[in-house]
Amino acid sequence: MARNATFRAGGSGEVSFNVTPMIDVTFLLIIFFILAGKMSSQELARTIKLPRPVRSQALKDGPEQALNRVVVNVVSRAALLGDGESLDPSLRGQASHYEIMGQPINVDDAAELLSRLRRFRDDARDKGQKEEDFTLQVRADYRVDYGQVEPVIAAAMVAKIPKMNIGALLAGNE
Amino acid sequence: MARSTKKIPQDQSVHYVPPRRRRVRPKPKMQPPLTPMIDVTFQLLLFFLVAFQLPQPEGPIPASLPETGPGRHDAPLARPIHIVIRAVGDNAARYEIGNVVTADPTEVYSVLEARKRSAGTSDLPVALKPSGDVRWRFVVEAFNAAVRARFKNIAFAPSSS
Repeated sequence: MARNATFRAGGSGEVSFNVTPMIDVTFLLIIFFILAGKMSSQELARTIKLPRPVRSQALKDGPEQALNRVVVNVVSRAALLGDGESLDPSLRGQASHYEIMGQPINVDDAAELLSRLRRFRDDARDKGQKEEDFTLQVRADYRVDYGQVEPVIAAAMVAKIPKMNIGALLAGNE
Repeated sequence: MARSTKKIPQDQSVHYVPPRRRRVRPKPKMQPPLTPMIDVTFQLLLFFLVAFQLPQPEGPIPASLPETGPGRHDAPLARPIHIVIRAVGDNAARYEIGNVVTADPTEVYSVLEARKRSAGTSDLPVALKPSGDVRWRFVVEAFNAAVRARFKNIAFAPSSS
């Protein structure tokens, strides 16, 4: 005689799942996002939108370049507007300020800009970096006028900085 | 002998044991409520997810600043290629390379390539002459076209306005 397969309903215990690993993973995610937000370099002003030229020739930046350079950020007035605000047309190409290592410099203060560039050049030389390889990196918002960036280039020439890089987005899917 | 009594060896007396022992109940575990903590944790996670911005991949386009001072030019300079950049309206620009006038940076590259081939060298200097009211991105386009054409000596001239 065949055995009847009978299934008896299981016990009446409640089903619950262990939340401890879920909380662990959630905290790990939070820590990741906190650190990822903080790890962005102080050199690079995040409010700037860099230009993306056609067939961009921008190269991937390496850590060794960061030792012997000064980055000057040219921040657009448009970058500081909130949602829904519009910029006066006469101000559209204007820069709000320059920024070096998070420190703002007034656009009209050429003397301060020159002094900072010289200080960075001298600091790099004192740290044993090659003076002939010291580089100015210009990170300007794509919306500013060339006339707002020109004082930075002029100050770098007066400070006898031999090399210059222009910050741009890497070639993407065009 | 009644069941409620117990005889202990080496002892003549009889001890009374209650008929029903109290069950030893385990002590209740103290656990703080986890639900509000999970709620706050998820809110924090949501905040960071929304506030997080992926940094765009960027890098430098290498250039050289012209040196100032005497004795810089030991060799006679070839005649530079001038690229004049003028603003057209608010958000456009026009590139003038000799007789060629174009708004397309790809054409700027083509013209530079042709000039390089006809000169037989990429040591020709290229001078960018943007007007002061040209948007920076058009200047970078011209500069990028010159770098792409493998010119080594690219300089900026003072703005013409």
